[in-house]
Amino acid sequence: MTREVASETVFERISEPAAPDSLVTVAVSLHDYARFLPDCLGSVAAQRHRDLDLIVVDDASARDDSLSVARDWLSAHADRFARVSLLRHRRNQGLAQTRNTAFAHARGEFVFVLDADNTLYPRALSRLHAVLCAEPFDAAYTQLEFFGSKRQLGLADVFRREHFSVGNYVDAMALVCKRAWREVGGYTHLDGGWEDYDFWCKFIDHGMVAAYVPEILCRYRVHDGSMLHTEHRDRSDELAVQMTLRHPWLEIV
Amino acid sequence: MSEPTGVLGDEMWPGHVPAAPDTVQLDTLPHGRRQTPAGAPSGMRRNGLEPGGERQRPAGWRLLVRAATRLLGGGVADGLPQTTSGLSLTPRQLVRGLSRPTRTRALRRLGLLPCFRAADYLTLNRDVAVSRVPANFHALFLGAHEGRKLFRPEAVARTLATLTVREAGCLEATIPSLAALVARAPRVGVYVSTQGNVFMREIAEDLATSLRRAGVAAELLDETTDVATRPKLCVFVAPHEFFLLGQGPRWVRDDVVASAVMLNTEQVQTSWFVRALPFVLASRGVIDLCAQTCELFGRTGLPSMHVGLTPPDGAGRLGASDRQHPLFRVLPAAARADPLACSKLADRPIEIAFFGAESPHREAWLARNAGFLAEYDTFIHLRRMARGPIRPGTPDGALTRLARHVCGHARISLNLHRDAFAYLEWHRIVRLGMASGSVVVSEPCLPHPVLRPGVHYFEENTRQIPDLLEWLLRSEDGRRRAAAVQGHAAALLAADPDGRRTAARVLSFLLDGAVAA
Repeated sequence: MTREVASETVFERISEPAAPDSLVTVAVSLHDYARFLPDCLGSVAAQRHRDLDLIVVDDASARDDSLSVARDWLSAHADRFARVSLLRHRRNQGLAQTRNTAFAHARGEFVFVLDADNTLYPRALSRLHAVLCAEPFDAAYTQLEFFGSKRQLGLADVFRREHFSVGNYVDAMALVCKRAWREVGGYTHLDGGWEDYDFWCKFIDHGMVAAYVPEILCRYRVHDGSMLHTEHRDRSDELAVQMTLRHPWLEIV
Repeated sequence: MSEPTGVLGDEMWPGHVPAAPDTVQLDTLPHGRRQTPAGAPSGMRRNGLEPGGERQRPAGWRLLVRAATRLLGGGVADGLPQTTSGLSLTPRQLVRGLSRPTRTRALRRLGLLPCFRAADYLTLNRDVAVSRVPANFHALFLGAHEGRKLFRPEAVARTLATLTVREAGCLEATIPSLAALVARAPRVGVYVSTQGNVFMREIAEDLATSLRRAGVAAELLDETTDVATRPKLCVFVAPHEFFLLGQGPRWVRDDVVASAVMLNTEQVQTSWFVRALPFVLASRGVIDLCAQTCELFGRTGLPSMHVGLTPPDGAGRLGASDRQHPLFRVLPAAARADPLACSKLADRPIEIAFFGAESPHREAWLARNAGFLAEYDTFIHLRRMARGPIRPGTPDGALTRLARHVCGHARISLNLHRDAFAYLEWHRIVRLGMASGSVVVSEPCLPHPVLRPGVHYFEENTRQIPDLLEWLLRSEDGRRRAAAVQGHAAALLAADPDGRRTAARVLSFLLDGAVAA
């Protein structure tokens, strides 16, 4: 990343000006998900981990009132957090940049990546934070529960290059060291998606390792026939080429 | 049931070399995950199929070859079907390695196997019916090798449900004293494949250790050793791996198979069981970890014995490299020390542990109950990115030791069956759970001659398992009951602390029980 994309701070309230030692920043990416946002943020507020910053980045939502729903929720629950921030892109930048904007704004070392339609179980952040404090991993993630139009488990398993060589199995929902995010150059926009896959491949390229915590503590909402899924499916061949150009060790099948 | 007359007898093969070649394909993914081996045709050429040999072959053989080739769906290399199984052993090696009497005996036993019906096999494999190859012969020497379905699932279920299990399996005689048995025992070789699953090696190690502790000259050996200098008594653990992988085909010889005892590890409905079947039915006896499968084999006239092997003290303790495994490094600090099987449940930092390979059945339960499990300190490892078996010496080779370590720090070990066949999986329930001092909670299991639900472990239907777990972990009543079950399981295992009783039973079977009918 060489420049910051223009964003504006819509709302911010700071309860603790000095970042607590055990601070975890939750970075929520929001785009036209007003209907899911209260559940998502509610699950963050219910975390057993006490010291939390919450950053919501609205990626220029245009089809619903995401921004006002976010502002109302943050205003009502600001006391729960050391700091709450609502940022907004002036024009739609995509998921990769939305996450990068949140990371850039985070004041702590540990940033949890959360999309606005997903939720967490209450032990998620405390468990992941404990792992990153105990061992020199660059990120940590749990197994997922898929919910919504499909109920099953995620694909998460131990973080290994050979597993990534044939496809992605680790979602973006992870606690990431800001240092690692900076070193790999943040998330990169790829037409059609796969920015999560690319992000983890960059970890591999940099010799970084993420910890797999074998508990089911994060929830991934599966949408029925969403635009995103359709676009992924249509462009998967092109994406495989893009990814292989970026990471020649991949053997995507 | 006999094999096709005059087609495959050894007398039809002048200059036939019974041993399989030294050169075999190694890059194999067993357990139904097929991978076409590079160079399979040339490997088959080395397997005694010299150029021009086809001219000398009888018409019956050519007919069978053509028929089998169509069924195998592969090309013809040197006039023989090209294996599509990805295994080192070819069907031809299998057939030629066994003598006619051995094959005939194995086919007769197949005909007596309660869950097998030739009509079912032909229905399940409609291409066989037009092949002119007799169904039983095809099933045992071609279909089994290919991993075809040999049984209707309902037939397997009916058989399992109606078998009566007995504590001593099919060995009814009173066990002589261990000293008398040991005095008569020759050297025993316990064989396990170097290319197979780490679970099989653990089972082989448990058996060899029990025999050695009893005073028997038992050796843990593998397929890379010399066939000619093998011990007089040989036990082949997991024959579906041993004879099929790596250099295993070298051992497909009548003098080896027909005089050996097989230790079957597989469940009847699986392709792995089917792949073991030619070797088990051709052997002089079978040891099985499952009481029902033992009884199943007994119905064929094959001497069979059910045994539960327990790990020797200290088995599975983590080494220094294990402690660098990513799954060890995410353990809470309180779960990192070497566990004690006798530690109190309340002192264990992990509340619920589960280990298993992925299956739709397990995934459905875990997904349904994710919200419940999230309230507890858990270690839920559903192995997702599996590429074949867990092999010793690979990064995942530590998984079984890690599982035992984690269960040693867990209050509850959860057992979810792989599928609808509700076997009581000894390895998971006893070796992993009870022997680690954790309390096993399982879906309902097929009956076991010794283990009792509610006494040695808990059983509950899948929908009510969360209620049971909550009661055991959160209520005083439940905690007391869990501690009692933990005590009962420990007492059961303490009845044979050094495995001598098990050794005596196995030795008695090897010396006197396994005499081919």
